[in-house]
Amino acid sequence: MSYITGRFTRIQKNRRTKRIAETMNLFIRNPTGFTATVIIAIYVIIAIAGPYLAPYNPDQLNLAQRLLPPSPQHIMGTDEFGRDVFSRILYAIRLDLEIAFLSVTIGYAIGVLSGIFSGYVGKITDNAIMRVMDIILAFPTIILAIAISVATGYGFWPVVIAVSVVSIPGFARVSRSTVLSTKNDLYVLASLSQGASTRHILFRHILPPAITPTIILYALNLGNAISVAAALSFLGVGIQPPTPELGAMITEGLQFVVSGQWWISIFPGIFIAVIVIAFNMMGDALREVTDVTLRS
Amino acid sequence: MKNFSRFFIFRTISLIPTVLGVLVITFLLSHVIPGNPALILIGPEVNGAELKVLENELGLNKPLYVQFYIYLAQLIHFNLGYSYILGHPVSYEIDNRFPVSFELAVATMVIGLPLGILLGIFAALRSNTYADHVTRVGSLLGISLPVFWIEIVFILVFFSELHVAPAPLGQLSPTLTPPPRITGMMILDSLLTGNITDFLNSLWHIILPAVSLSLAIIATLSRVVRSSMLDVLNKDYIRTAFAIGFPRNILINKYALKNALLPAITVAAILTGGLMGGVVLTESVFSWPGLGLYAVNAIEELDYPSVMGVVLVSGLLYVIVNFVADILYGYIDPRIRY
Repeated sequence: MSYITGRFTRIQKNRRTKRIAETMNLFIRNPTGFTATVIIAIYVIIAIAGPYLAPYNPDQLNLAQRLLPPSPQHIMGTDEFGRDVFSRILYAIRLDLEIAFLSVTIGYAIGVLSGIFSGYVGKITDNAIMRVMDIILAFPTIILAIAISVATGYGFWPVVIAVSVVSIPGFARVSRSTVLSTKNDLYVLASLSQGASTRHILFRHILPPAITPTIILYALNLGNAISVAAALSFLGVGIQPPTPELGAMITEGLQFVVSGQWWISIFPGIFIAVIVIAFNMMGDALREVTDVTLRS
Repeated sequence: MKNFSRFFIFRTISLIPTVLGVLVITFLLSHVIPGNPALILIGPEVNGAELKVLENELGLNKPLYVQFYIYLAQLIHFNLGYSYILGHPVSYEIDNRFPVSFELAVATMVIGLPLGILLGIFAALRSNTYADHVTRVGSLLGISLPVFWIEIVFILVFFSELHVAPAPLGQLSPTLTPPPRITGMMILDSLLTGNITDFLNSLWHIILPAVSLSLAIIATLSRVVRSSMLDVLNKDYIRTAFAIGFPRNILINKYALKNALLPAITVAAILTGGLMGGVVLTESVFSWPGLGLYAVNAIEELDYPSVMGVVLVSGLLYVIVNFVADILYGYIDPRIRY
């Protein structure tokens, strides 16, 4: 008997690794997924190596060289205080990626855990947790993020808290709904009737199918996190100047757009746009390759 | 109909915990904000006894739940507190500025909803063709590009370079006298008073902010409509009708479209309710004197009651819009009533 079950789990395990490999393969071959991966990889490299790549010190004031248009010396021009826009962007990318990954990971952990818990336990607990999520969802994203950031003081951590809070309900809802649908599936009931422990059922049967859709959401939320963090700093309730941050840099250049010094605002915006697009493409590609019904 | 009224009552009851939750969150967040409201109200040069008296009056020394009760009691009288900077009630400012933002939101939806739906249908009917791919890339851009950045690009192109758009400085050119306030909405007021110059000028001013705000709506909505339209077109009853030679136009317009637009209602509601977030950003780029600009200015001046007033109003608006959409959905689609 044990020989048979042992063999059976081994086959299952092989199947699982094979399936993961298959999905990865599909993802890399997917043109959207490939492009997104390349872009994100470039950003991550910039985030790590930014300080070594930057031609100038991002905080170095040089009033003799203020508001210079893009030139071979300053490929993206200089700002109001003569700081090199390109160097500031390199530093800002590091900060923005840090905020995005940190806040979405926190939101993911809290959201997915409470979603799975909520769906598995059910009843009053489920109701209570989901009502809290409804309330978070009852505010427009940016408005709630502004309120949280204002209430917790401005800066790095308030932005991280604000962005992670607004990402929690999405993760909770998605993971809960998968748990609810698998919980009463025949294979789970069969395992239960054979005397499987709660832990076994949770980790073997409930968790794996609940994780896939949340990974897609994780990618999409990273894009959203960058936008929200930039919007907060743009409004002045996020990262405070003179720290280089992409959204805050757009604000710094805002007053110069009309007078013709467009580069201060436009370049940081392009860098926000490209990474947000990449994360959204990544989410779309993941959805395509993991959705079995779309495979032909 | 009996079924529907039951659905209506249940949905209305379910509104209560959400509204209460919105109130609790706003209350707690305004409570966490650093600074003693009593001290800010009367200024720093005050003795301890006077401060105690005011704290007592404002209920700041009472337990949290009593303070929440006071907060609710004041809300019922539309008292959102007093602006630290301007001195007058927050509710007065909100009343004044709400129509200004509302007008912008309406203009955005007037552009966004039809375009989003049409583009979605168009993409679905030509799925997997060149046109469909272009629409998809366009909607990806619309969702991803930060709205405040697009607005700056628009200003740069249409105002600074092409000189076809007005300066991004509010609703009306500074040389014109605004019409007397009737509804608080510039376009409507100037039309009501028969002031054609103001009417055309305010229309000219609203185009750029409304178009840039509507991009995200067009992008999201067209995606939803495209996928739900494709879903419906692949349903058996549509395919059967196609197969037996039913006229394509009638089939698409009368049979498929109705069902495909159902999910669009919910999404359109979420987008409309969430518009306030984009409005905050847009108003600060275009110096549009609505609720968003009020909140942004208040943030700069550490005028927290005003910020929280705007947060509360946007939260409640969002809840109400979603409620209306749910009711509408239940009215149109008998299947989801319970």
